[in-house]
Amino acid sequence: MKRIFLFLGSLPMAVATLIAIGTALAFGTIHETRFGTPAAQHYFYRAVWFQTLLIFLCLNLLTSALRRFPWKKHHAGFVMTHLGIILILIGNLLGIWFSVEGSLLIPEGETRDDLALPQDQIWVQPENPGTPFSFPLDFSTTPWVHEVNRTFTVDLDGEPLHLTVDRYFPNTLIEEEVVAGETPYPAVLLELNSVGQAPQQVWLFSRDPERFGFRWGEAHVLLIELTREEDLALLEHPEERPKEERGILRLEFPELQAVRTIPVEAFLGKTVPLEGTPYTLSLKEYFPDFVITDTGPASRSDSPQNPALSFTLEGPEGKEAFLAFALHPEFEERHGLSRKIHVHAVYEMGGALPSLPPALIGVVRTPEAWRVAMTSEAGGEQRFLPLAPGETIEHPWLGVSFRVLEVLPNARRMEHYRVKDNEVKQQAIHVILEQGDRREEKWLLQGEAAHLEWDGKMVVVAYQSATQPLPFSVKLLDFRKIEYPGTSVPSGFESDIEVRDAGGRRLLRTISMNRPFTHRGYTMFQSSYIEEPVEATILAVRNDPGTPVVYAGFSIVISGVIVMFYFRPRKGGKVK
Amino acid sequence: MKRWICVVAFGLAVLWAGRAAGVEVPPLSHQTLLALRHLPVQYNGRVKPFESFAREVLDLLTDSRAYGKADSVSTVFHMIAFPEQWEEEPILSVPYRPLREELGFAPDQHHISFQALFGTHFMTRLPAIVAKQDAGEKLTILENEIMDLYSRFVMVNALFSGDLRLVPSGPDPRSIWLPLTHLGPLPEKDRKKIQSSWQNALSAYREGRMEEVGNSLEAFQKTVSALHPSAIPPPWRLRLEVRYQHLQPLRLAWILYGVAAFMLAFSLGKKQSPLRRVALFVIAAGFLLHTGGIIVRMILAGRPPVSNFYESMVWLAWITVVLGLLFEWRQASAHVGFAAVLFSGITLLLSEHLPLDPAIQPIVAVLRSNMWLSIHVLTIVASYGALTLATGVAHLYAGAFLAGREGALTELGNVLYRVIQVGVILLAAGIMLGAVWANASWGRYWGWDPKETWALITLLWFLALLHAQKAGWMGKRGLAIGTILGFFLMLMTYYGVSFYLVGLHSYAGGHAKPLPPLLIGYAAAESCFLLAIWTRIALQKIIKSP
Repeated sequence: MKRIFLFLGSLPMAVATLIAIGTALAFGTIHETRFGTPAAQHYFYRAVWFQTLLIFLCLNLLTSALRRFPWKKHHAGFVMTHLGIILILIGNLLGIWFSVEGSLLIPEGETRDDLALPQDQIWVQPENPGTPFSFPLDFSTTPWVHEVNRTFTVDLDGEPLHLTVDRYFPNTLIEEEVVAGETPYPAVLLELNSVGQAPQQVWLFSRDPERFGFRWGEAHVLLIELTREEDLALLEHPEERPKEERGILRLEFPELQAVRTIPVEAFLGKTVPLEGTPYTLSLKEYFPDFVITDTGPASRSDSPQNPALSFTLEGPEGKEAFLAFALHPEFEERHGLSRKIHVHAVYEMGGALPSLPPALIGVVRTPEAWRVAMTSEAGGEQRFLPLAPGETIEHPWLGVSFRVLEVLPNARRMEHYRVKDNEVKQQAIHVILEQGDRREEKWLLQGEAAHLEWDGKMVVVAYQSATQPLPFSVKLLDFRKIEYPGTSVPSGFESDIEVRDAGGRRLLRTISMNRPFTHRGYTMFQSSYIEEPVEATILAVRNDPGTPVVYAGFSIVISGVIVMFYFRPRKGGKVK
Repeated sequence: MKRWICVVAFGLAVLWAGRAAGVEVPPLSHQTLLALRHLPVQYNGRVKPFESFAREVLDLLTDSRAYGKADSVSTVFHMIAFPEQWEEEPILSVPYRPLREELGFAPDQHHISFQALFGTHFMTRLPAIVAKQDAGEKLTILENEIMDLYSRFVMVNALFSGDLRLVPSGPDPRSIWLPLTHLGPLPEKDRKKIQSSWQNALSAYREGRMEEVGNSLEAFQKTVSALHPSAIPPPWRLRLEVRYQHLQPLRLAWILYGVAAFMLAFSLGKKQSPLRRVALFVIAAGFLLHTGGIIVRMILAGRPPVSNFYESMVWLAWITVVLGLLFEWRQASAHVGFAAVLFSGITLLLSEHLPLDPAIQPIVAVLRSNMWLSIHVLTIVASYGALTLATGVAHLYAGAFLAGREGALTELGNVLYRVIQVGVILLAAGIMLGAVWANASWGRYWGWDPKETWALITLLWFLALLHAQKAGWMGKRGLAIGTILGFFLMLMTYYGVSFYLVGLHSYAGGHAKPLPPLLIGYAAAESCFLLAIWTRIALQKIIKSP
């Protein structure tokens, strides 16, 4: 027993352990370069065998210190450094076992109270209200395994729903394929050519709010869809547009699957119940040329430059005011995120057709025909051409040329998911849902949720970070970025936050790089930020009970080194 | 030892030869040069004198510290005044051979002209690379080189079109300066005055009226300074920087160290040799310049001298000399000083000639000046300095062993043990301070980041060496061999991780560079050295055994 004890605390054992740990770490970093941080953490730094190695080093240090018991004065430095290292190792193990680590992404003005953990989960929410189910996923630790085949079972209305994840891609490439389909969905494939640049090919889809057009240098590239054939003539001859028409308001209620159309002229200033729905509409005011002034909304002129309509809806959820713009149908989507009443309001004006933007490279689709449309840089002049696929068109004002390679009135978009490499980056899983004979499959990127219809009910399946509630909430009041002069290199960033406890206590703090804030054991650090689509801060949050132990270890080691040098024998070199 | 010196001298000769330029740059008058050198320019996030700007620009474009016969200031001013003469001059460096081949140039054509570059399709590759970069994907070496070439292209384009940020836009020194081509926001009167004085200087230079160039530049500077005096650095600061660039104290330092090492090589082990006394004076002079250079850089940048790889090497070399001299004095050794100046000189020489950026730069957000950063990085690099010294001593030890000089071995062995101890303590302290800093900056004291992990591996290796020594497993000879091997671990931590492994510390390095031939050469030379030692040991055993 004594011999084992002596051997465990011997110098040869120490050398062997140090070299073993060093070698393991070297392989760990190589593994990390090849397979990413989660894999290296899982197989090396947080692995049980590595923890065993660390515990073994602890024992070695402890016995080597105890061997010299009873300690003499000249042992002080030696004992302190070695016990300090033991504390550092214990602190590290405490961290591995008990720490909570995650991040908070907070858009400006919003509040968050759940921590996104580094682990992923699959999350299933049956018809609302229903109990959500979640299962942890650890595919990122083995990114080279793509055929994962994991099945989970949830209870959906008393019947088991089987959820199978059969594929996992650590880094996914989505290839888009556009083919001819049956239902109307206009699409064009354009090739854009500019001197000194490689030709660029791009698909446009008129009904996709993110893909109907884009900015290409100075130019607007658009696919415009007109619902009525006669609108084309109005677009080509804007001077013939009717001047005084006030258009129609179309209200779509997705949950009720109801659409109601109201002519504005006839109902302005009146309150009408919408038949077949629980809502009452009251059309408040019409602004031909809407503008916000110091005294509130007003009309700048009588010509329909920016037609807008204000109205209210009253229903079981309460009463809400709306503002709809004929020229900016996206306004409501952007600003009405937190509506109680779920309605999609479209204000259509016969006389206020989408006017063509300046510097346009456009394709116009009517129910029957296709046209190429171009406008000058200032927007004053416009030209329409019949569309001939494959023919190169020189833009008369912009000095660029383009070709329409393909037109599809009934396009169908298909997405093919491919694995790019094994670096954990853009993760995706393929999920199969099965219940009885019913089967549905879906690809999900990390952070994505799918809304599936299941026997007339909605089931939400999401692939996202696992979360953990915080004992307080954090609101981002303001985020600032400071840059170096003459560059876009950030010299620092900071977030003003408001922390609110369950008890109602409020704290205002500013977090910046190197200036974290600790609240109830959780330390929040400025880690990163995003600017698009909204400004948001990313805070790293950590609660590690091991940190004080490690810090104590640091101070003891450093004091030990100082003591060691103080008690160093004057001559003869080594400490005996 | 002589062999070593020959190799170094040959290296110097090769590196010294600048590239000859084809365009004849007429000399500027003294007054003009003076006015031009001190002209403040905003470039790369800092307002600096034209002198520094010109050097940085030529370094960026040509990838060599010296271009042509004329000085950098005259050359760059000539480029601004005579773009047509420079368009066909091969000045743009394309250091990566596969890129040269891809662009259709001869494989050995290291520099190409603006015209020639314009005729290639390299611009068409850019959008895809930029998209890749924005998506946060890692670029290949070729793509990185294309981006580098693009930055050269943009720079030369800016010079040819006179697009220099010479005019402050507001009283705040941090505001973005206006380029000469876009003076729109200025009042009409000032704008005309600034533009006409600059144009006068250029046209006078073009037409050979040399006297007028200086006068116009002075008038230009006067108008610009009057706009927002608070945005312009004080004159002493501009003068100090120009002096620094002219004197190049760090270059002088390594030359002096080299000379001292040469002298010491002939007086090794002789404490009373007169040559040694002279050498100590040379070292003192070199050390003063070395220290002064570091202090000037600190004053100019307003932060500790560890913002980039270049500065950290300068600091490493400084620590090596300081520790070497300290040991020479404390341990009354006549060897350590030699190892110190030799290795410090080589480090400084490399810092100047490796493709590192010597510009005094602003510092990235995560490295924003604070106490922990300064202490952590200074300590860590100091430990590299100590370990470099240890490697030097280890070589001396092994050299003495090979040469059969038994007398010096005991002393060298003891010094080696002590130097490693200092290195280990500094490294451990640096790692711990780094942990404290990481906790404040990234929210965890330890995250198994490759740089952290490799620093720990290096520490464990040297700790194992010290413990093995104590256990009596190996003698001082084993310690020397272990140190020479451990130096590679240190190189991996210091250099390799930033370039070959991913991690948070990547701002310290740069993008992936191909494995430099220098490193391969060093590894090969070291292997031969170790092989020689091994052969010697084996021979000794054969002779001893009956």
